[in-house]
Amino acid sequence: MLGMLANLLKILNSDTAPGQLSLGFAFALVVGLTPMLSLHNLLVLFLVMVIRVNLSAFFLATGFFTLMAYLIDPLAIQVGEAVLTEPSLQVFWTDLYQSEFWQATRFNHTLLMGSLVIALAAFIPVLLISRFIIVNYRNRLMAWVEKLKITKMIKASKFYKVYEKLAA
Amino acid sequence: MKKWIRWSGLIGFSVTIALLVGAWFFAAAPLIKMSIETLGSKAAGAKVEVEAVELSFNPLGITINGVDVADADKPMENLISIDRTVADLALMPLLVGKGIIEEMSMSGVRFGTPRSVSGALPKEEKAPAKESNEMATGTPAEKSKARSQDEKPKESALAGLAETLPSAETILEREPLATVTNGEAFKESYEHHKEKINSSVAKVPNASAIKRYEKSINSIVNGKYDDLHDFLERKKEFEALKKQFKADKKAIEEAKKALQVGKKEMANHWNALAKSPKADYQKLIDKYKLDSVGASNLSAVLFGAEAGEYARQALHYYEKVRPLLVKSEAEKAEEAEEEKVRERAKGRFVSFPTRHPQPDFWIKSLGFTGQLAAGDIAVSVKDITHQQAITNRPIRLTVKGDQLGDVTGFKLNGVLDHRGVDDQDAFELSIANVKMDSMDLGFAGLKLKQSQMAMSAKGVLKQGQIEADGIANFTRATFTTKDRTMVAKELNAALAKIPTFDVHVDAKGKMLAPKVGMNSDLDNKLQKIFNESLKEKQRELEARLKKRLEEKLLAYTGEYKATLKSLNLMDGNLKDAQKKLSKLAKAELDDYQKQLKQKKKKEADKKIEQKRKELEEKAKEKLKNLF
Repeated sequence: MLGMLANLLKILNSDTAPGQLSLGFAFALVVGLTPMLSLHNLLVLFLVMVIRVNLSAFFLATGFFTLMAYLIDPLAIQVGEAVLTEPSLQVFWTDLYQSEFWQATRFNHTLLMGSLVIALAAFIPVLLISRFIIVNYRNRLMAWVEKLKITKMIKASKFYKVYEKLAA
Repeated sequence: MKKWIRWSGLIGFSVTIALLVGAWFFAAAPLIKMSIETLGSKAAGAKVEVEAVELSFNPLGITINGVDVADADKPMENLISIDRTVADLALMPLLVGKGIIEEMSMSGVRFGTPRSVSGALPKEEKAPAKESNEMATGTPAEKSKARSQDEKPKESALAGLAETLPSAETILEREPLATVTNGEAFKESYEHHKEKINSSVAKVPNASAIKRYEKSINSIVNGKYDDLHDFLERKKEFEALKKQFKADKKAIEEAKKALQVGKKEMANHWNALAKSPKADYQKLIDKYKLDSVGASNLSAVLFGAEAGEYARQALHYYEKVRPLLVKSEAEKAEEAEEEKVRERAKGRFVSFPTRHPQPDFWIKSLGFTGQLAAGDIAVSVKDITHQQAITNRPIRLTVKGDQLGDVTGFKLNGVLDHRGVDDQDAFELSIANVKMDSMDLGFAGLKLKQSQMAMSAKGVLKQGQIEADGIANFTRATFTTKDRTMVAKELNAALAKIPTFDVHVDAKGKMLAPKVGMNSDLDNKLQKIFNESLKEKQRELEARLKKRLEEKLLAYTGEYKATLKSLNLMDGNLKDAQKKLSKLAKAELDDYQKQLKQKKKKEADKKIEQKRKELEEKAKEKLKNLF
């Protein structure tokens, strides 16, 4: 937990572009909320690797959203069930189901579909909100946070030093 | 835009994927080998060993070399050995964890090959065998026991046939006869009444006694009384005799009554006894003859064991293979339960109509050539899966063999339909031109010396029940026997006249204990021949039986007739005695006063006559004097 917090501070306080950080968070939302071993996550991973997304932000947020997924799963299952059984979409899903590729994506699984729908729906909001927060944090709060005792404690911790060395 | 692309990331991603694929490539083969050995051993109940597993990518496929599946019942033997198995895998379904094999071919498939080390699993690992499997497989000792139990009915059936024509004496000794039973009842009745009649008759006066009575009566009633005293004496004796007559008459009545009751009861027993020989004769003739009743099960006796053994072997292999191909009800229930749990916690797969449904595991086509001692068989299996409801296709099995030793053609078609509605396994078997040599029929030393046999059969197994029927057509059949018994000779002679016959077998009921029926036109043919050849012997037996039964009846008859004669005589004597006694009893003793009056009258008459004569003399003298 302490490590995560230190990592977050490190990322937020770095000179990384807010867009790269927020995109990392947004992609992490998809990977974290949906079942990890899914074909679409390979695409997400590819994008994360190829686009200049902040990897630290991505992996940190992935851990966070994976924990969140345990809470969201029941809702995701309901959403997936509703989406996959929606009569107006049956033709579309049936067409997709004819393809082995789309079957390989497991799109017809209620948890995967529900969590993916939630993740995609939240993608843009998370991207924009997190960018807004990062920008405002850096402009208004970073100096104040730097002075906080807890920040100093974290920065003084062995873990932070090791992390800094590794990051460098 | 350029600043948003991370080329190093692309390289990293590619390298990562390549490493993952490489790791899978090297690790997958040993993992697959381990899975086959572990899961295979669990399913077969014996060791499953794999020499090597190889993977190929273009096209994606798997090659399994050297598979040995040990026989759980014979650990030093392999149930099946496969030199090489090649399977083409579909990539996309594999990504979602579905093993879809487009085509699988096997080579070097052999059955029952010996093993150098035991294939038995350690005891603690061995899953408890299902009851049905135990019955179907069992240890050799159990099999032997089961076989011997199965053979018992045959032995008894053979014994029954062997007893068809024993001697009349043996039959009469062995069989419970109504003649003897009723004869003994008659004898008992006779003894009982004889004693009773004799004691009654003993009280009846005999002829000499009656003569004495006559003499006494005559001496009493005849002659003149000397005086009053004489009269009184006679009267006293006369009364005493009359009392005796009364007692004797009562004794005669009682004797007659005893005689009548005895005669009536003995007559009843006699009537039953007289009818017994005829009933016994009919019963024995019905039982001890080779008519349609006796010969109807002959084909079952001759071919039942062989048919039973083939069926047992077929069911044995069916039981072994079935769990690997289709899920049991327990497994289905377990899966349904698991599915429910998964639905709550992890969601579910929503199925849509598809032209290409895919189960978790599916071998679309499997083909191999099995090497049997008799020759090679080509086996083809289509649509092997445990989720037939998804493929909507039953498993279709075809086994073909040409020139399998003495068999010219062999074909087995099977359809294992477990799609969820009206689940059943159906099989059709046809065997053409089986050359049969020296087949021991196990009865009367009989051997089917040689024959050609063609067979067709079909069966359906449904919910643990079997319904099957088949027909075997035997042609150019010749038989031989080494036995010297009359039955063996007769049977052999009869069979020699039957070169062609059909044997029809049907089985219905519980799969492992079906009710098996067997009939054949051989029965009718044998019956016809038997009826001819045994007719004479049958007549002889019947005549002997009739004679012996009559003799038995005569033994009782002679006694009865003598008794009846003596009883009738006794009855006549009693009637005579009764008549005589009645006559004697009618005798009257004259009155003494009356006798005195008569005497005086007689004396007076005498005096009157004398006086009359004197007067006549006087008259004559007077008349003489006148002239």
